[in-house]
Amino acid sequence: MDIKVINPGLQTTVQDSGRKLSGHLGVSSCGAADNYSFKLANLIVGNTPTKAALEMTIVGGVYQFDEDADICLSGSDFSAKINNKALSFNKKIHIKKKSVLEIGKTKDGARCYLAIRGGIDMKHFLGSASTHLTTKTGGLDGRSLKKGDLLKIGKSKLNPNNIISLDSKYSTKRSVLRITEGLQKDWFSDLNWNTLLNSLFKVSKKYSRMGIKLEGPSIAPANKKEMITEGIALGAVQIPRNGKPIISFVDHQTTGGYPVIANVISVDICKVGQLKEGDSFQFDLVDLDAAEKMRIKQSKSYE
Amino acid sequence: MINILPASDNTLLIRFGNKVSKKISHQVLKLTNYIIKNSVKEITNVSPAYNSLMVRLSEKTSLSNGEKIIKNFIKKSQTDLNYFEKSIEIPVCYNHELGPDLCRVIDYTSFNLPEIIRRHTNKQYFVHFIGFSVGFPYMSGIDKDLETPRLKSPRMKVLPGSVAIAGKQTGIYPISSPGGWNIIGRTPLKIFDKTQPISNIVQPGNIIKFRSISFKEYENLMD
Repeated sequence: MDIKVINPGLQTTVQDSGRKLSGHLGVSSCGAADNYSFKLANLIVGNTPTKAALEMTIVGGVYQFDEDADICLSGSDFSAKINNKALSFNKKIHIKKKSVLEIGKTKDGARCYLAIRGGIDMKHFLGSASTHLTTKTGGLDGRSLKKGDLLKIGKSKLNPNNIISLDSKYSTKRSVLRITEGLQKDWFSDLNWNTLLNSLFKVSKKYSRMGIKLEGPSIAPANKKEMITEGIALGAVQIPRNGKPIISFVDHQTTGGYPVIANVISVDICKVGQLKEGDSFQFDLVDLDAAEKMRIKQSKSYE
Repeated sequence: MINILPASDNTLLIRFGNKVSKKISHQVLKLTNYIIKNSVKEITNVSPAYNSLMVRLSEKTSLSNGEKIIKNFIKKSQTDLNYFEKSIEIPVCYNHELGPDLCRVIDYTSFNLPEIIRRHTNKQYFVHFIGFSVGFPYMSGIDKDLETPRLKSPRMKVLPGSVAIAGKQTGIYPISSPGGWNIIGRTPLKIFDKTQPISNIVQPGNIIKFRSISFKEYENLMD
């Protein structure tokens, strides 16, 4: 079965759960920006949680199905319809062949996912179908979809797994991002920390799968030490010289030299994937133990 | 002195001392290679750098269990192999067209172009790790008097094969990307090949020597 791209939306890419053991080659894990909604869409449609799906950004696009298919839309609510009939999110939907799926603009956050039963069948780069736009690797020739592209859908094998409990609106509640202390936490004064934890930060127009640049008060470290370049963790809150935080995201550089004041906790990474220009949020500091427990607990909510 | 620190609730940073040296890089490389060869489900990714290795754990693995696994791997990997050192020669055409920051380096160092070429090709460079972007080698060993600080604001687009210097480092941009290092020339070699991402020409632990070539030779090698 094929899906034909009639209109690719603003930035639609093929994504899966990301690559493993790729960092030493200079490629980060990549994968779906809102990994939570991505998994949910796959599980609802009957796939294993890692199958390649479409990640749409701000505007969805128009897609034609040449055969009957089961699909699921998840993530931020983008106005979606078939034959002018509105579609619900987080539900398995059966599509008749020759149907045209129209996915419009977001009514909420940055990203929406389209999972298709069987998953998108795509050649892997370093073990994953994920598109890495900056290095032009993975996915479909390492790029966003364009008009006329054909996406092959894999054979469907029903996933024996069951969803135990997943809140479908979890990732789009993004007014607070929880963080733990970063590797260079001691480089920053009490005043810096106070600013980080008690200010509202706004997503600038420079936000992408690589990183999210924030607007708000400056958090300039008192000492001007030079860091020896080291690895960057997903969700690292880096402070460049101008003091404006940058959250490293799924397509981040593997190494960097900015001090890291904090790190977004694993279960809130999906919320970073829903941030869009102009969104405001606050940081909330939590214990490493608590963050770790939440992560392990969430991983058990789908088995 | 090896330190294991939590970088996030699913990431650990292993620091091998607090300086840049070949000896420390060998320790980092040994552990990195060991983890890749003996891939375990608890470790999902690694990012080596000069004196550290960042390790990402699977979503079900606790930090304490991750630390236990890594400590065991450190023990096993460090006594393991003697790292095989391979020397590689990279041809570079140094001219103002292919090296748009040569003027800046000339101004900063007060050397003329032939002297810059002589000093850059005279040294052997050690590849500490591949980082930043796909296939980008971080190398040390630069002539002290050639050290030039990075650009004030990064260039939006650096072309593939560009050979650059920044502070004590030299590197090669394998693909077109933004970059803030001083570009002094370009190699015709394909540093990153999408179809063979694992067998890049330049690998960590390699010794690199640059050889100056003419523009004509550069063009011939490009074909």
